[in-house]
Amino acid sequence: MNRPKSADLRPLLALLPVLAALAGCAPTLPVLVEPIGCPIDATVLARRCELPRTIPNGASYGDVLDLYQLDRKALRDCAAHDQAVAEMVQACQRTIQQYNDKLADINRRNAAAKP
Amino acid sequence: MKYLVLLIIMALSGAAGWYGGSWRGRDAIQALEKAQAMAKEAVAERDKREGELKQTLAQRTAEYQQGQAQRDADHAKVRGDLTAALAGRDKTIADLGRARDSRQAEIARLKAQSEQVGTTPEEKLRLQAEIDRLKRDVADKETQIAGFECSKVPVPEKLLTPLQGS
Repeated sequence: MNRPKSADLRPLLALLPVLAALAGCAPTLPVLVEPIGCPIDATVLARRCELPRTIPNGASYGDVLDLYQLDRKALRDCAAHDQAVAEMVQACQRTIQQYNDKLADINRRNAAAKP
Repeated sequence: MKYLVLLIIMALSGAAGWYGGSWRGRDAIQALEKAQAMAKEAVAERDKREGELKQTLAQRTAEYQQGQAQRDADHAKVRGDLTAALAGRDKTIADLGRARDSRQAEIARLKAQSEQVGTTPEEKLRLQAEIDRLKRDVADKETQIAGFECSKVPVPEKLLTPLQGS
């Protein structure tokens, strides 16, 4: 029995790269959906509460009043910032919770539809 | 001829494998299609929620920044008022002192009028009410003067040290 010469298989070997490329036609499935982020403005997040000013030795009552006014302003700013950030984080948490509930609902429907 | 038969057999085998494989993988394909639909629904839900969240956060950020700008403006004004009040306290003390002295002079004048012969009891009562009002005004002026004078006095160490440590 005559064995086919290797030269006879050359056209088939040339097809191999084409066959390998067929794998690219397989459907892509987004198995993991990106989670929801919490995109709070970076400048808001970077802001920090100021520490109380140092009262120098020999300060007069007028100087203390002056420093008190500055510290009071810093406290107001800090409270407003704290409230804004807290509300934004709460908004993020609410959204994430709603999204998770929706995912759970999708999963429930999927499980119920199984034969 | 031999190669042709071999090729036909290969093609038939391939077709049989394809058919059998697709039949066997039908459940898997259906599951895959369902998973794709779920993923699409999840992505759409995420995009919707994320869009709403971004809008909410942008609105809250704008409110915060507007509030901050307003606080800065308010503070600049009241700070200017306090700085001016402290800087001009000597003049304020002098003005208050003059006002107090004029009221004291008015009190003395009204007292003399009240003690004059022929002043009716009703008139005396009216004058006394006015004197009492002026006395209250003088006391208020003296309190303000003491406060402005005090603002120049250094805080005693025993009162200042606890503040410095807090």
